[in-house]
Amino acid sequence: MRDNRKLLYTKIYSLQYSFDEKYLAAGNSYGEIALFSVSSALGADLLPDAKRPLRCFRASSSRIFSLASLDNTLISGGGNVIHGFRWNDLTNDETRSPQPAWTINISADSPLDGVLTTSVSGNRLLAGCEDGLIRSWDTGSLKPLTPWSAHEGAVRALCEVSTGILSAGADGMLKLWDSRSEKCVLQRQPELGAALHFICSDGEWVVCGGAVKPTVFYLRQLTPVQTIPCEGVCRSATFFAGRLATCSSRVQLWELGGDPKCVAEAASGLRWACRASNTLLATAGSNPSIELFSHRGYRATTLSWV
Amino acid sequence: MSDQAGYKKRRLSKPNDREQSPSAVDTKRIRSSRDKRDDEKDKEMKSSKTKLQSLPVLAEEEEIQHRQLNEDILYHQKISQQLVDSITKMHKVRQSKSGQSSKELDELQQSCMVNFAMLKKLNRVGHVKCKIAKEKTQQDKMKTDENYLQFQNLLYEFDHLQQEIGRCLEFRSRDESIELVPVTEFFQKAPKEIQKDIESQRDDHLLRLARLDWELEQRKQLDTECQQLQSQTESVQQQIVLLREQLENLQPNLARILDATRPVQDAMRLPLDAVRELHARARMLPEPLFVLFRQSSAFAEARDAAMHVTIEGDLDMAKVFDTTALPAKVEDHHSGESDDEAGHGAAVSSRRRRLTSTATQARSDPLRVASVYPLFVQLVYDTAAGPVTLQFRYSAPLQSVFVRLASSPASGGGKLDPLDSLLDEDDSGSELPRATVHPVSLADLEATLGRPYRWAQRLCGMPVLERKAGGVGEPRSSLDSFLAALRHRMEARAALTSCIAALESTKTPPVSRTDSRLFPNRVSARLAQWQSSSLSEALDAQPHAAAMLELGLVSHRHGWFELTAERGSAKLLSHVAVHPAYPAVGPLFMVKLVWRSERHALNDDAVRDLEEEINNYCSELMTSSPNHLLANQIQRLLCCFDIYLETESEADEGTGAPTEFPKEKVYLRSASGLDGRKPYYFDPGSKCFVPRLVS
Repeated sequence: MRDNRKLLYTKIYSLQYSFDEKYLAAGNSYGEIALFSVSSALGADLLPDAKRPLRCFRASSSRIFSLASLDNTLISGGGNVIHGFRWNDLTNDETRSPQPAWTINISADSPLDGVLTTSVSGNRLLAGCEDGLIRSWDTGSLKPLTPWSAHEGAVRALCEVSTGILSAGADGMLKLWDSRSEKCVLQRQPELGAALHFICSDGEWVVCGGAVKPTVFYLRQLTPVQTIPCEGVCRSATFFAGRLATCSSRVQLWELGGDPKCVAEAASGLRWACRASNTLLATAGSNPSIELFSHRGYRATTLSWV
Repeated sequence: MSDQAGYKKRRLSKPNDREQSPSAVDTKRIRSSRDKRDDEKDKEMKSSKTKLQSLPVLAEEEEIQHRQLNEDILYHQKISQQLVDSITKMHKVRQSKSGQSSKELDELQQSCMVNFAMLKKLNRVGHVKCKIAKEKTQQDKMKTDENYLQFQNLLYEFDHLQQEIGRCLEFRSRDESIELVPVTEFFQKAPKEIQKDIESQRDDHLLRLARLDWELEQRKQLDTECQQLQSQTESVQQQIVLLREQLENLQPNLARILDATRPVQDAMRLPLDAVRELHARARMLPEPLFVLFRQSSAFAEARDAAMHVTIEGDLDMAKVFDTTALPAKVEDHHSGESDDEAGHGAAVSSRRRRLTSTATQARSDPLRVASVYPLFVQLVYDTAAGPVTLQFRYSAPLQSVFVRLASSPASGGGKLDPLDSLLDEDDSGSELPRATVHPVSLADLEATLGRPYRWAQRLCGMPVLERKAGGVGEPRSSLDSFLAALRHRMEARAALTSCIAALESTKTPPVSRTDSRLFPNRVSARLAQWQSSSLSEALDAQPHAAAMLELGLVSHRHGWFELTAERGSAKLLSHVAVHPAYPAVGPLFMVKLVWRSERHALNDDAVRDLEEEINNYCSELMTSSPNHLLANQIQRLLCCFDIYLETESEADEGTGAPTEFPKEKVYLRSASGLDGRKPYYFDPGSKCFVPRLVS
């Protein structure tokens, strides 16, 4: 009973592919990580277990808001703690409950000011926190480097680009930071007061959005080019197969020019997370299922937490 | 010629006369009148005969008797030769034709005539001789016939006598059928006068007689003895009858004495009679009920004085109850059975008719098919909430024990069955635990018999297979755990009933004083309505209910209620599903918020979070007592409703629109985390609202 109730209200906040894109890790609102095998889920034989996680374990004592990958490590961040798990440990069947290879505790004023997003930039691990600070660590030695204050509200998204680090905050500002000097180089505000939720970039273009409709920026000058007329609140977007995939209550593929390419219906609930691999787009949200879409826009399969 | 005439006369005479020749023997003849006339005629003939006797005819007859046959033959030859000679001479003479002829002829003629006469005489003689010979043979024949007849008579007599002899020899006298004692024994035992020693040893007949005599005497003796014994038996028989009557009279006397002792028993507090009667009834119980009775009565005596066990029901009906009734077979099984009787078409069709009639009976009267045993065990258990009466009945065809709650302190809770999920979570008593096919629908039996709970089967010692992968459960569930569970359930149910009553009447959740620290002082939202509802209504009204139903979180077994709260222009409609095992399993709320638009868990994450806050964190609300769970949950719902409205209004503030709900609660951030969670959780320590943290 209790488990079913928990299942009813599970939200999946973050997704991450392994470096060889064979496995998909998902983090949920109860601090659990589930590992799925993508190849068996798409395999020809319809085993019922193929859609279920290979393993599911309690990774963190707080919600896992973001997952990132660094070499052979899966980084999970949420609350006051960042864990690093080795991919080998996770995919190895013998260990029942994998232990993190390393753990970083964030010394924040209150437990509310936890990590909301993580990103890897060069040899640095960055974490955007709810108190508006971006904290960073050296990836090799895990020594904390100096945090800097990025936004007035929470730092909702981080993205590494060729020119620096992009951050989007709840105050509605999109800021570009220089990696070394940690100074804000450029900043934009797509709309006054509208909180931003995500940033994604494909090297030339940057798309960010949230309470405001997704706006396409040209990376060089961060000049706004186009607004994508997405329905509803778009919480997440990513570049997928040359196009932009936005996730609100529906998953849509857009040309950067603003033309919608195709629409795929998703399960009920808002989509919080999406992650693209070479062939598949994975989205997850307010129910315990992860949907995989192919680049043609149809839903390939659905993975279930249970 | 004369003798010819006489001869003719004689031939004309009556045959009687012919027989009556003088030489014939005159046999005795019965004289009759006719014979008399004949006699007279005979006399006349006789007289004529005597006259005739003088004639030469009769003399000739005498002569004839003396003649010899040989002589007659020679004489005949001679005469015939003479005749031949004379005729030849005559012929010669005629041939010669001489004068002498006439004299010679005449002489010859005379001699011929004489010869002819002689021939005639010879002829006569022959005839007469024949006649005489015939008469003689006739007489001889008669004699031989007579002799033969006599001979036959004698033979017959001889045979007859032989037969008689044989019969006499074969005669078995009755004495031979009597079994007599062997001779030696006879000699040993019989008294001297009957024995007649010397004679009987020699003569078999006398011996036999003696033995018969003795036998007769012995039999007489024995007969007298027999009479005596018979009279004895009769007297004994009468005695028996008398004693029996006395015994029967004894019974009511004893009963009267027992009745008289009853007040003494009550005074001394030894309810011996009642106990004896109870045990007598217990002997009539079927096995599962007996097991239950023994266990529970032993338990009541040894441990728990709050429990009283009795056996109720109709004892007389139980005595005549047919316990060998087979379980009712359903029509579906019939195809398998009819294969056995493939050859008997008539038998199969009659079985079919009988089975369909059973099935129709089942449809019309399920109680009859269930064939419940008339006696049932009644348990009255005093709990803190009040006395609970449980009735356990047994149905042999359905092989299950049915439990009915006759009276309980918890009558509220809508249609919530107090005994559902008492020991196991999914034990609702909606299926027969042992039979796989249901010949009757259990819903029909519910009113009178109750439900076949699995814990009841286990209490009665009937093994029940567990559904889960745990394997076969223990055949005997302990009475202790059952009573404890029952106690808790009744208390919880009573609390639930009172809570619901308070909700219906006062429209405020009855939060106890100790629990009020879990909530802020001021809650602006108000409860508008509380009423009972049903699963179908919830499915219609709440979009999230379908998902819950799919996950198995709600069902028909839950008790359903509808709750309406409002604050200002915002309305909150919620359906509550109370599990029968409340408060072990917390109630489930489904929330729909109507404020400017319809918001529910499927289209608004904040409402989803609100539901989660109420449904998933019940243990915090049960710190003072589990029975306050529902009240606390409703209070929490009202607080979260407030928070929702206030945080939403606060978000609106930024846009410059007028805020309907000013901030009243204490919270730091209206949204936090990646998904902008609202601070639904009221921290009793800091007395402010914070977003729920997962620990």
